[in-house]
Amino acid sequence: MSMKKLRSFVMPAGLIAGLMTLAACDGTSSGYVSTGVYYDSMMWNDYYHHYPDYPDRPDRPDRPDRPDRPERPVKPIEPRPPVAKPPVARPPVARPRPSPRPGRR
Amino acid sequence: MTRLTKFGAILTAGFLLAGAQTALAETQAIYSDASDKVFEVTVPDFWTLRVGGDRDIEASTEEGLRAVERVFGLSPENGHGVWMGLISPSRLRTLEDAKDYARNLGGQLAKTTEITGSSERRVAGYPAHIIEGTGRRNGKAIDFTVMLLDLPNNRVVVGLTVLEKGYDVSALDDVNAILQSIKAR
Repeated sequence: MSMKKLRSFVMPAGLIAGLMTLAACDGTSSGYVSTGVYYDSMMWNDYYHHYPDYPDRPDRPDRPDRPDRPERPVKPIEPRPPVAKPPVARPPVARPRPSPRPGRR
Repeated sequence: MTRLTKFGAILTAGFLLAGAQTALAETQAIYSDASDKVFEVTVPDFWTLRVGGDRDIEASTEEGLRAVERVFGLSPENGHGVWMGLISPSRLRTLEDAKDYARNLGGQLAKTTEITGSSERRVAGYPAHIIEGTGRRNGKAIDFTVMLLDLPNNRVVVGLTVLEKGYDVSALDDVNAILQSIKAR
């Protein structure tokens, strides 16, 4: 195919494709009514509407510092009952026999 | 009965009956913003949903860049003159704030609008405030209803329904089913 013939084919094809693309963009028509104007009305209303100014929500207060944990109490020493010890065994002390009394047998 | 009164009556009847209609619907979509899933809605068969997204829009150099919330746009594939929009701005926290938002919406919708009535009722089990009005857009007479739905997750859904003159009345069942299908996430 010569360049001239190719160009004469491509140009109308491009024009048709362009028209089809534009037609596809106009997807808002319904029957004989173009509903795009109503769609735009809602958008412009939102654009121009002045919304009420709500006060900003106050920042959340900082969480208070956690109080220091008190020191662990020292465990008291458990009282124990006195241990019963047997008396210390001691050898008898050697003592001299008492002398007999005079006049007595 | 005027056309608007008839529309209001149909819509009211629809609010009562739509619970049964919801079971027939097929597709669920979740409306979410940057951080939260806000609500889910059931899209009927043969309806088109335009999901949009959060975006920043610059109208002029004076106005600067502003964030605009996601808008869900719904319309029947074959119905005529019916359109619904759902939006839940994260900066709207109460139904009272939303009422002011809804009044401005009427002004954006058409150059000349007239509020013809308002009422309190429950929609989809949630407290709702309904504003009805009329106006002209692109040379056509329109009826519109703004529904403000107070969700328990501290969000408000603003639903806009626009019916152009000569609209397909059969689409109203679906309109009511959509509104009744909204559930907070």
